[in-house]
Amino acid sequence: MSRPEQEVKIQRILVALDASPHSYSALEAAISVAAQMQADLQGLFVEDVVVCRLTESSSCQEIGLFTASKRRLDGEELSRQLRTRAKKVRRHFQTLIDRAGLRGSFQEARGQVSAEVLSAAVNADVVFLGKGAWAAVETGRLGPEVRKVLSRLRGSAFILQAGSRLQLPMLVVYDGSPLADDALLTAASLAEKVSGGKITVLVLAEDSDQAQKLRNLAGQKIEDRDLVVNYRSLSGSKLPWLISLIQREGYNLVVLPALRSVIEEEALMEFLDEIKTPVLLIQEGEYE
Amino acid sequence: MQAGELTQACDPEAFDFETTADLEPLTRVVGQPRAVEAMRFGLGIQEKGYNIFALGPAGMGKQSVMRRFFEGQADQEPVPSDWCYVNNFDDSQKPKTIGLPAGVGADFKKDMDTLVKQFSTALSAAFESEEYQSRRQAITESSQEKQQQAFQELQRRAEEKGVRLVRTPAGLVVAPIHEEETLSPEELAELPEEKQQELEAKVEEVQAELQEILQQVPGWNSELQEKLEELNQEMAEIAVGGLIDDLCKKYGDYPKVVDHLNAVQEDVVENADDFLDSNDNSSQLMAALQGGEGQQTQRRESRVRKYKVNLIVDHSDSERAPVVYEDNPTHQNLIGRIEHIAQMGALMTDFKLIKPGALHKVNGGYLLLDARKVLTQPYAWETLKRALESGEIHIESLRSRLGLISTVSLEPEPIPLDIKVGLFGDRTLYYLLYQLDPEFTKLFKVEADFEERMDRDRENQDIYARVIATMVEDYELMPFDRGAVARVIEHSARLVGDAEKLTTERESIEDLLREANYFAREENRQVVMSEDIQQAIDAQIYRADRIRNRMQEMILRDTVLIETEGKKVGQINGLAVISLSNFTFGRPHRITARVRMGKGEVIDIEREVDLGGPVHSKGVLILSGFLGSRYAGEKPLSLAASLVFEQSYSGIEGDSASSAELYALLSAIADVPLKQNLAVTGSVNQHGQVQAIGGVNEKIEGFFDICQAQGLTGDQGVLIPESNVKHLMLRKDVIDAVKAGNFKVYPLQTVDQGIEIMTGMEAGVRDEESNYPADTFNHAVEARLEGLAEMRLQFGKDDKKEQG
Repeated sequence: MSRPEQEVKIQRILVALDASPHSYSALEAAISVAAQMQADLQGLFVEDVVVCRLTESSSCQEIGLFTASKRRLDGEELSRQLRTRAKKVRRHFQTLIDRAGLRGSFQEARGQVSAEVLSAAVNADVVFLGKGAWAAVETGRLGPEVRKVLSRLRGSAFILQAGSRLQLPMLVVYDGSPLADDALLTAASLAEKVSGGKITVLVLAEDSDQAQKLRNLAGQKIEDRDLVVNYRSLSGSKLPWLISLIQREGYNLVVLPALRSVIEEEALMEFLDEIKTPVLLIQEGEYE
Repeated sequence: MQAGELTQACDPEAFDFETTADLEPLTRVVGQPRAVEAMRFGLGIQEKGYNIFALGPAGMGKQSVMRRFFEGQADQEPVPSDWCYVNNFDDSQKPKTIGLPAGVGADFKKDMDTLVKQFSTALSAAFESEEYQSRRQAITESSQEKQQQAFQELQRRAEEKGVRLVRTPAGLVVAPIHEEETLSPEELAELPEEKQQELEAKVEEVQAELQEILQQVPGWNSELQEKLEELNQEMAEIAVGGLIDDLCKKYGDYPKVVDHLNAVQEDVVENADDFLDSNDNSSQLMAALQGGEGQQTQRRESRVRKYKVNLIVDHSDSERAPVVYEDNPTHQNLIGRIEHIAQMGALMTDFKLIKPGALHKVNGGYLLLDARKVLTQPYAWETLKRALESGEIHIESLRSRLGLISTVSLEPEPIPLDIKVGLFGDRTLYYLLYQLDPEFTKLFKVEADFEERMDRDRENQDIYARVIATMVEDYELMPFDRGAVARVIEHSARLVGDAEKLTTERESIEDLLREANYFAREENRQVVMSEDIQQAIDAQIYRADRIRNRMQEMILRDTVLIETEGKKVGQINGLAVISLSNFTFGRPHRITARVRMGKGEVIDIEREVDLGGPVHSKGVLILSGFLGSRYAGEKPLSLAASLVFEQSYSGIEGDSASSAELYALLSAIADVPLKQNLAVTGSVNQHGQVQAIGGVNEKIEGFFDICQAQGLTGDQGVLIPESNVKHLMLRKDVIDAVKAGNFKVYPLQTVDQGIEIMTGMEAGVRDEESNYPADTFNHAVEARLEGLAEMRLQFGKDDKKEQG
């Protein structure tokens, strides 16, 4: 199916929040993008039913994160804590969007986390996710619920880990596909906001001729932008090499068109597990 | 008296100049040898407590004389130290002082400002360096990895055991799973008993492991923080060490500066984390989108503030020791103040908010203060004394000293004080302080007493002319011709009420010169002449004499009864002086006396109604002494007399009317009338001698004005003590009247002389038999007193008979 050549239009942003530092980093990034793109921002907090169901067992024990002491998990207390957490998240969300002067709404849901996020994502152009959100413990990898969301999400997603921020330099992966065009134009829009914004276009090509062709193509698409553009080429094995390039050259944001036909889901998840840099995953597709 | 005796004119021809333009200005102090000597002594002696108090009436030029001396001395003295306050890194509530040679303070401040800027640059460079970032990241990641690895391992083992960690808001729960999904309690209950028990055991195993890991987390975090701090300190030390070393070399001669620089280095290294915010350059994208540049600058400024220098005394542009006159010597203006700024609703302060006072600015020099101003400002006097006594400047706010406020404040290290203070004020203040304040005598040992008058001789008149010439030059007035100068000198003598003296009160003379200059200019003259001086004097009098005119008018309209013709028994014209602001004038008062038989008392009606002052009462009591000793030495004084100032509605003080009262009393006793065309002034003693009084010129002029208004008859005049003749500097119109024979001034030595003039009778002297000749005034008095004594004796006998 042919599609018009244009950057991803970001008008509605969903940010999934669980009060973790990961999700708050995602919120800050979402706010900066929403401000830039004049987009509406929706915050979503999900009360995890799995956790709630645990209290139905009288023998269920909770271990304090700070005290490391064991205590019985009380249903009422847990509900109160979850409500408090939801309020805290809502307040934080509201404070930040007020400060940025943005439009936004906040939604609380109860259910299975990934299902609720995916349900809300239907109306969003991009979903911001904290890398380790909803994870039981900090492992530096994608949280299980985030992983589930990403495996089923057909739209674009920003993935940020705690403490990371949107900043230059930026790397955008380009293979000449329509999705890659979207990624390139979106990256250009983000970088352009900073004077003298610098981006590196990583061209995926089989040979040097194709690489040159793709460079020219990419150059034409962003020639009217106020950007300093640097080109790199990559052939052969893709994602592992990409991780080492990002770490070596210190990119702070990666815009990756997630071509399902090219990148296998397992490889993509592995890439996202390993990488510490914020990633904007440009995806396109219909929900099943 | 002859007209020529009524004033001592200054002869313009005696001067050897035409105008003041021909005269050299005079720089030395004139007419104040005692004060000048005291000043020299006070400036020369360097011992503690030898501060100077210049005392004398206002307008003497005490301040300008003192300033001139202080400046002369200061010119020969070196420029004193600069003083700075710096942060005390051990206790920021107690800022430290650093004293540096003149000019070095400004350099030091500049260097520290530069250093602080360099700190930011150097530390930013250090913390933004790849080396730092890599090492920091490595440390952080190493710690994170350790924790992540532990949890990953735990998660892996848990999943192997068929359980999973689930996050709750406050902790973690270990829950059994089946096919990657957490089992609900119902699902668990459906499992076989054995399987349930097995899962429960595994849950407990994982819980135990989890607890073990969680207990290690705080230790790992502490370890991480320590490592990061060590890294930060290492980087900071390298970044700022070189900068500080350079300054330590530059200021090697000043140990306190070097100590401070070392303290700064330690603090920067210890608090290197504080500089990390600047390194934390939140994404350019975020900054561009959200702004906040101003806030960052503010934060950066507050972070480096403690390393700056508060240079409170800067002598980089000075060329000598300072001389300062503090016009508003409040507590704060003397010792400085500690300002506060509102921060988050609370008042905060620091060493940068210390502001210097006059004592700081003048330290090493000379401070001039008006004693009255110091004493009328709350606690200023105590503050000044405390500083002089301790030899240090302690900055302390009045509010905290009085306990009025409990906000956070500072206790700055005191600064050593080395000054000479010159206070100036009137004599009353000096003597009150001397008597009532024991510390005053310890701190102001040098008394520079300014004389109000100087001798009027030929030499001093020439000097006075040069003083006038100096004033003319200082105030850029037109030149004064010698006639004008002579008239100023005459007026100067009149101001002190003494023909043989000149006033040293500069202000009155300066005012007169300026005003005469104004009138000369009005007349389009190029030189000020004696007419202008006279016009200025007349104008001064006119502006001030409303009350005098009202009083004269009341006399002329017979509201106040004063006769200037005829004779009356027991009635005389006394003379009083009234001072209003700077204008003094005389006016006649009718004094009357009545006598009757009595026990020898003379009743002073003024005293009886508390309108008479003690000196006046004393004068009246002297009259009793005189009467008794002269006329009733061997018989009882058997009269009762009353004396009163008629139509006097306010207090009477002084004894200058006692001779007039005596004449009225004697007239009443002798029943001999007194001439009303004469007025009398002078005090009298028990021997009948007439003594000098004050305000003789004003008194004569006061009676003259009334006589002139009522019409001069040729026989009117005033009786004055002979000892007051040297004080006569009468107005020209009075002198002209005397010259024309229309008015007279009689100098007296004794009461008898006065009696003869007032009655036209011979007073009489006791003969060999101790009797006054018949037909003399004294005989009449004595005879009447004897009559009264006989009457009293007879009255006593009749009384006894009646009682018997």
